[in-house]
Amino acid sequence: MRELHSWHERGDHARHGRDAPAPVDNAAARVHDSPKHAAHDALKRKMASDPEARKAEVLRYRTLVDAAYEPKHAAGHLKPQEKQPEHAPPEARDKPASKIAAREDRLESQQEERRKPQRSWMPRADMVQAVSNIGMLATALAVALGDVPAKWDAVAASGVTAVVSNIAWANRRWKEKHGDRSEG
Amino acid sequence: MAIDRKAEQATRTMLGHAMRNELDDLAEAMRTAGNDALLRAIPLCLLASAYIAIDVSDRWPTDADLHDIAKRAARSATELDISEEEIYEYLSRVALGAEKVDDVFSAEGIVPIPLYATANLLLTFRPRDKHWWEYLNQIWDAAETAEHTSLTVLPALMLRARRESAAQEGE
Repeated sequence: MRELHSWHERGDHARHGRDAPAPVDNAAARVHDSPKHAAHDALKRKMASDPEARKAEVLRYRTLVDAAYEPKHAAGHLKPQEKQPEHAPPEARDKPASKIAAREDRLESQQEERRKPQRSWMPRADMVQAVSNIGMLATALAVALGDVPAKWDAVAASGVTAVVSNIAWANRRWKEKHGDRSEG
Repeated sequence: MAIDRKAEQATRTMLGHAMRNELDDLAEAMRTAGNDALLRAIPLCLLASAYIAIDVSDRWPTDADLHDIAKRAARSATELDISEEEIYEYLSRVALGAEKVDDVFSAEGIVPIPLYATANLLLTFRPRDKHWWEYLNQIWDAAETAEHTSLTVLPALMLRARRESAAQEGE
C-alpha cells in the first residue's frame, strides 16, 4: 500500500515492465542542441561579438533584397515597407478632408444662387399618389356623368392616369428648366 | 427620420429668407409659423447640417474637418450674424454630437443658430449642378429612404461607395 502511494506521489505514471515506453532522453531531443542549430548559434555568437561581420552581413542581405526588387521597382511597384497604409497615418488625421475645399462654392456663384427663388419639396411618393388620385377621380366623374360606358372605366382609369402623370412630369421638367422664374 | 411636411415647408421658407439675408421677412415667417413649427424646424436643420458635414467630408467628419467646414461656412455670401466658432460648436456638439441645442446655446440662439448655420452650409456646399433647394430635397429624400432601410444594408452601401470611388480614381 505504501508503495502504491509512493508511486502516486512520485508522479511517475509510466508503466513499468516490458511494455513500458523507452525512456526519453530529453537533452538529446532538444532541437536547439542539434548540430544544425549549433551552426546557427555560432553565427549568432559571431554577429554578437564581431561588429564588422555584422555590418558586412547586413550589407550583403540588403544587396540581395535590392537586387530582388530592382526589376519590380522599375515597373512602378513599391516595396512592401513603402506601400501606402490603408488608413490615414496619425499625422494626417489632423488634416481636413481635401474634398471639403473642392465642395466650397465661389462667393460670386453663391451671390447668384441667393437671387434665385426657391422651390418646394414634393416627395416622390406623394406625387405618385396625387396623380393617381386625380386620375381615379376624373374617371369616376366621367362614369357617373355617363360620358363613358361603365365597362370602359378600367381603360379610362389607366388613360387618364397616364395623361395626368405626363402633364405633371412635363410641368416639373419645365419648372426645372426655367428655375429662375417665380413659382407663383 | 420621417420628414414632417408642414414643418418642412416652414423651414424651407425660413431658410430661403435667411439665405437672402431678409431678416424682417424671416422674423415675419417665424411669427406666422408659430412656436410649434419653429421647434419642429430645429430637428430638420440639425439633420440637414449633419448630412452636409458628412457629405462634404466624405467620411464621418473629424474635428479638423468640422473646423474647416465651419470656417468656410462662416464666410458664406449670406452675411448672416453667425461665427465660425458657433458653427463649429453647433456641428460638433449638437448636429453630430449628443447634446441639445438649448444645452449649448443661450435661449436667443436656439432657433437662429440652427437656421443660420444650415443656410450657410447649404449655400456654401451645395453640389455644383444643384440649387440649394434641390440639395435640400436630396437630403429629405435620403433621410426618408434611410428611415425605411435596414442598417444591414450599410456594409453593402459602403462597399458600393468604395468600388465606385476606386473606379472614378481609375478613370
